[in-house]
Amino acid sequence: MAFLSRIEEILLLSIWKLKDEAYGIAIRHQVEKDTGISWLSEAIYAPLSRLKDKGYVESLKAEESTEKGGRPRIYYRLTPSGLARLISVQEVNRSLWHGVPDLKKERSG
Amino acid sequence: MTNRQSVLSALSRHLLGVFADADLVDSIVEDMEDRFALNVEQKGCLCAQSIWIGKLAVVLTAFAIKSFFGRSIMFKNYLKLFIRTMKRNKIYSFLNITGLTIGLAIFIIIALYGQHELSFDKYHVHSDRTYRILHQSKDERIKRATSSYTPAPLVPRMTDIFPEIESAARITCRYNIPVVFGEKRFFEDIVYFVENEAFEIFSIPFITGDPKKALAQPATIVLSERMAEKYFGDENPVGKTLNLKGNLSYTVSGIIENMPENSHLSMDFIMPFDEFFKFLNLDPHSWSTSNYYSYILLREGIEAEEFESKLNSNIYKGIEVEDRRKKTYYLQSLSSIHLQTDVIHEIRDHVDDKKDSKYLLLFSTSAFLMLILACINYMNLATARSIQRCKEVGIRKVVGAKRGQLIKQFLGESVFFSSVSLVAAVIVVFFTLPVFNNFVQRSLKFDILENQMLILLSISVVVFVGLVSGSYPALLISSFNPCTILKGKIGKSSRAFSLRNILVVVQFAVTIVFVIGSFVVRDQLLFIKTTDMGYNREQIITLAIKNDGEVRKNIEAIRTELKRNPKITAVSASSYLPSFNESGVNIKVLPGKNPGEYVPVYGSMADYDYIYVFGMDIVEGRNFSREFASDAQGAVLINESAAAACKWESPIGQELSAWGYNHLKIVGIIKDFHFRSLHEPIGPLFVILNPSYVRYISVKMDMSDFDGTIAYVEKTMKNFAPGLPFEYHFFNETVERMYRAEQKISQMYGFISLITIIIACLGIFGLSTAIAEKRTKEIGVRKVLGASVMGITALLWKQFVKLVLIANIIAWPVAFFVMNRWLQNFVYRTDVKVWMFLVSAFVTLAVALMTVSYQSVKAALANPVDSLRHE
Repeated sequence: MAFLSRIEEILLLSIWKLKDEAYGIAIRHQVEKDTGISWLSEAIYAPLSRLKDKGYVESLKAEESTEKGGRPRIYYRLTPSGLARLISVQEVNRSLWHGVPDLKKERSG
Repeated sequence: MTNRQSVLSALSRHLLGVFADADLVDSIVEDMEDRFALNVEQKGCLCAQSIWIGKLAVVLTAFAIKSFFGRSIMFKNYLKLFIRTMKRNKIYSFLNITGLTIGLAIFIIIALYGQHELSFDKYHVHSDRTYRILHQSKDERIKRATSSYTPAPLVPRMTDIFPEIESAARITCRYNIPVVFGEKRFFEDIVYFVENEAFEIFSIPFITGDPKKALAQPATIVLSERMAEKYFGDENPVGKTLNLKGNLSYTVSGIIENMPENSHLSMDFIMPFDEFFKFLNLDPHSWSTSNYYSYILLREGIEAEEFESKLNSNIYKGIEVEDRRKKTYYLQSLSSIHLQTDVIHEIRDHVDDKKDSKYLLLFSTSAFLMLILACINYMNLATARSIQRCKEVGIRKVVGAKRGQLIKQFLGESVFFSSVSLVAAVIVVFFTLPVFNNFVQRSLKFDILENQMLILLSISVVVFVGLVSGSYPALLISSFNPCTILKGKIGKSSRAFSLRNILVVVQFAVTIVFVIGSFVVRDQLLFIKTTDMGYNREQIITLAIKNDGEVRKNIEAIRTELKRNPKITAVSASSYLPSFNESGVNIKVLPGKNPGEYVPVYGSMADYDYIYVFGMDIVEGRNFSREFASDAQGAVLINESAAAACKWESPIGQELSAWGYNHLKIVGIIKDFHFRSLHEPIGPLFVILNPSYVRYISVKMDMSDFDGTIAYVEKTMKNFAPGLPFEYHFFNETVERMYRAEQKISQMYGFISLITIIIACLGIFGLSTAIAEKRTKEIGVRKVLGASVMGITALLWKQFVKLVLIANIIAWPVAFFVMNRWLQNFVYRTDVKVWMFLVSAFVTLAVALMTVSYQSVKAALANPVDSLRHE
């Protein structure tokens, strides 16, 4: 199985964290909050569409329109295979970081 | 601003929709809207818009690449190779991009122009419900073209009986009115008389003054911003008094914003409608004079067609109108006024504008053709070069590239080429737009941010051009069999070659049609310039007088005074110049054999010297003469056509009545002269002797000391009519101005031929390069065996000569047909001549050979040793 790119991983995580509130802007804000840098739209949405193509994420329309009176908002959520993928990423990460102490503390200490 | 946002959203949705699925597009657009709202607050609307468009471009590219090439690994490779081949073939890349740039730049300019022409009068809020009334006479015998002049009582009558009308207004105008404020005196081209309701129908914003009351008082006037500035400078104009026509005073009651250029009305001076009857002594209740434009605003939900039939069946019910004054009325929607060219009595300022809109079709066809030519160029060059790239293709295939991938790669390249060209084209447009504006008398602006439509259009054209021009090379190259390619046997594929030949033929055929076209148009212009109009147009200056009271009274004294100058040989006063008579509005009475019969004729009034000044010939009878006292009692000259139309056996001495003059005695017959344009046949005309009806003074003079003479004329005119601004025109220029449209078309054709020749040359230059390269070895062998340089050059030439000749043979009938159709517009015209075909064949052949010879001679001069080492 091919590795996920880093941004794909971040996106999956953000969508998982946001649960029922995972729509476009919210995802971008979540990503920006977690990584601490601002992201270009294409850096978010192109990978998001790739995740969709791979079947890790699915989109669904909200039943009601947004308060601005526009179209119904599009929400995203993990598919079972997306969740499985995230779990495997977590495992890989855990084994990668296994035995590594807090590096920041190491350096200052 | 929300409007801006919705436009941008829609644009983004459209574009992104091509590449991403609908849900994702929704998310992205929502995100963009969110950022936009933030940016508007922080950086302002314009900045936020630019950010949006920039972002859109980036997102779009990302998605386009993703959907086209899949994961980006191969894309990087394609890009690298593309840049390498571009660098290696600088000439080829340059030719391609230049060709496409020219094509796209012309396309963008024409699209801008088309957009402008189609936008006329659409800015009025109610433009979809506003109509102008047109009419045609019901009487078959005197039926003429559809006219936009309607009778004065029409509008009041309509508002009385039709509840469907929300608002209606009459507008009329007078031309060439002297306007005076203090020391400032000008002839103003046009002044309007308007009913107050017009401000409800049209969207005309007031800067000062109340649209409801501005024209309620008599003797008031509303000015446009530019006129307020022209006459009053920085002063506040409201309450000041302008003097019109020498004796009428008007108080400024309001200022309106300058009307936009895309409006068929361009009102600078607006006076109350009733004031018109002070200017002209006309009966406002008469159904017999049609002098007024009628505009109506229908209530919402009313069908124009239904209303039209209701209007026609009810309008004359219960009122007394002479049968021959009855008319059939039509509704013309406001936005179609500008583009409909077959209506007579248009506002004169707008007529020139309209003439230009006739070019729209010519412009757009040629823009489209040039785009096609540029595409053909690309196809040609890319195919020619495919031989060089087939090794790359072979290797790719061997290591497992699928045909689809190869097609995508080459299509991607051509789309990239066209995108680069688009950027270049945009720059070209910025620099050439002023020239074009000057040519079409418009002030088009190319606003990338504002003009969403155009962005969409250009992008789709670029993609279209890229795909079309890339399709053939992509399909061809990807179809090569890797085995044959790698064995080096490719290049003998005759299929590719024949298509390339066909493309060159098409390119040249189009070019030749344009070259012949420009010859024909030029010839017709020359014909117009040199043809004998039947009157003399040299050494005459004309002064527009507008029936000024002072001049009328003193015309005899003015004449005597002017003639005192030895340079001035004759002076004539008349109602029309011989070049253009537009009196034929009404049907004049020429009782001939059957009294009471109407003959549609044109009429004019002139003094004794008219015929002498303009040098018309009298074929029968005599000119007006002071020696015949009876002439002063009522004398008239008619032209040959009129004599024929009236069917008298001997017209001299017959009497006719017209314009309220009875017993006009025919004293002579003038040889037919072109008193209207050469588009029309010469109609019947009469000239009544009336020395004091002066609208024009024509001065025949010796041009040797022009400045001195004209100063003398000015001094004389100032003496007799101090209130009249002094303006003069050369009569020959006046005549030539009538054919402005034709002059423009001639310039246009010249320009188009030049561009098509350039594009075609770019094409065959590239082609000859490729061919010379392909035949390097052959040329080497030939040289070793003793072929001369000339022989080899001729060998390479032969092929192109053949193609150009075939193109000529195809183009000739097309050009003949098309240009003959164009000439049908003129009743008096030149022919499509044989030399035009021969010269255009010669020109194209010469240009083609010159382009090709650089490569041919180079190939022929090359050292055979090098050539044989080739590969």
